Amino acid sequence: MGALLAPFQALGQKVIGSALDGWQLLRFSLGSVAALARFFSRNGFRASARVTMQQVYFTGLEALPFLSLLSLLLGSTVLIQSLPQLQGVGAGEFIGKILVISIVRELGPIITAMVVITRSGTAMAAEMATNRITGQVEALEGMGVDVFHYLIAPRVLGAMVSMFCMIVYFDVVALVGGFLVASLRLTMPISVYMEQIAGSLQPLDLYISLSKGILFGLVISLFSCYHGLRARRAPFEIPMVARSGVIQAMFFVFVSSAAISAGFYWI
Amino acid sequence: MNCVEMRNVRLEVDGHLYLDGASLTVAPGESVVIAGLPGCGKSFVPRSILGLPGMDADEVNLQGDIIVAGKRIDDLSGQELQALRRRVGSVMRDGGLIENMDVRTNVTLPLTYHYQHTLGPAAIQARCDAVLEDLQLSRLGVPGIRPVALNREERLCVSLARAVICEPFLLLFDEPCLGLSPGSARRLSRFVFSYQPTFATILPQEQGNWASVPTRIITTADLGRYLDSADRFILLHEGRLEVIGDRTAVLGSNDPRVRQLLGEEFSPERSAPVMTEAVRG
Repeated sequence: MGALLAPFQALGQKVIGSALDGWQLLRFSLGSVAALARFFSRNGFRASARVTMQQVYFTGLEALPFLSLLSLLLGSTVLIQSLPQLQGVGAGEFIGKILVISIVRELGPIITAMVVITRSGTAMAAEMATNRITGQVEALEGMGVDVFHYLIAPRVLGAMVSMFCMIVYFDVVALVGGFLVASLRLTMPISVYMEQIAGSLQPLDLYISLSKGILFGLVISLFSCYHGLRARRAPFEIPMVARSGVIQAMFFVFVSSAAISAGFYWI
Repeated sequence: MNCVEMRNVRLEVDGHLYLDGASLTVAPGESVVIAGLPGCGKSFVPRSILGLPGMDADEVNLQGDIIVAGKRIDDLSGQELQALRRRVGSVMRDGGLIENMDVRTNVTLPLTYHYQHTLGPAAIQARCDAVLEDLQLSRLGVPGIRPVALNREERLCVSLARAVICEPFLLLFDEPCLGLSPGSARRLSRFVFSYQPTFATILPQEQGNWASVPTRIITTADLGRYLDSADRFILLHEGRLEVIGDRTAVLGSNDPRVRQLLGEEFSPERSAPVMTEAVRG
């Protein structure tokens, strides 16, 4: 009988464990958002602002060369693949709409999020785990430093600002730079191309793209910091918590991206 | 009013009972050494006083009263606890330095976080220079030197510099001399008990009229090292804090637990022949 019940017990424990984990993550997220709300309070603001700027530098500025390459390749590939097809059926004027939907609404935020997860999400989780294991978090607490205000909020804010700017940058480079690369093979004048892009780009596209950017920045940094700080005792936990943070952030990014797109589609 | 008071504290961390009915009173300006065998839970005493009994534990159960500067730790809100901690200096076992900051940024961190708006950057740097010079660490104050480049003694001295830069009314040390060579341990021990910086700038008063000398609580498994420095010695055994007394009481104690912590250096069997040899010579 016991053997028969064992799988159900394991399943029950798994469900309870996941629920508790979700509750802890929710509490952590609320604590971080509260720290963001008091971010500009006088005490500790300058020290935390410096951490925020460092985070923007590491997450945003340092990623620009890699992001430029990705956006150029993606923009030119989409153009080279789609424009001849559309021109072949006399629908070349739809290229603007297709690029805005595929790059600005969908691929821009998703690919930027992937870059941030792989570069900064893993780094944040590993850094937080190292801070925890080596007693640095305890030392900060012991000095009266608000860990949410000094460690978490600057990373969350830095990631959100970086994601927002990176998506704008990605879209511009993919649309303009991609066209310049693709123009080696294509026969559309740039003035016509730019007119079509400008005519297709609606405020809603920007809202979708940028709201995704802010949400993804928030979620990637929160998940990474949360899992990083779950490490307790030994360095072997660092890759484990980094992996958990990356997987959860990736999962959330894809699901929420689809949900946001669907939500705006029905609106 | 006592600087620190623990009343009947019971602390269980991950199912292991470390403090069981532990009580302690420390007067302002007093230096108290808490001695115990390795693994007995000494480190939990300063951590509990800071309100951080089990940061790396899954389950922590703390009962009893811990009162610091007249305030019960459990009754304080997060902000009140942070305000209290900023005037408590602590040097934990490995120094607790922030590895991605250079030495100077580490030392100035408490001031930068808590007092930049009142002191200003120039006064903060001046305080840092003064502390590093007093601790003979000026060479480490050059921007860019990270904690990873320091040896253990330097790390602990930098941690001490960071602990005293905010003029704490209470200093907590967790085994500060553990793993140091005898010379380094003597040097650090001298700083632990006697170093008190003087600064040209004044921090806002927060804690009322405390003794001009900070209160010090030091944990150790090497009781003999601090015999000449501390005012009072306390034994942690099976979760209870038992007062041994002052230096004379420690040396005169026949308690085998105290003799074990003192080590062979202070055993009566060893000191007698040495005395005899000296008299003969």
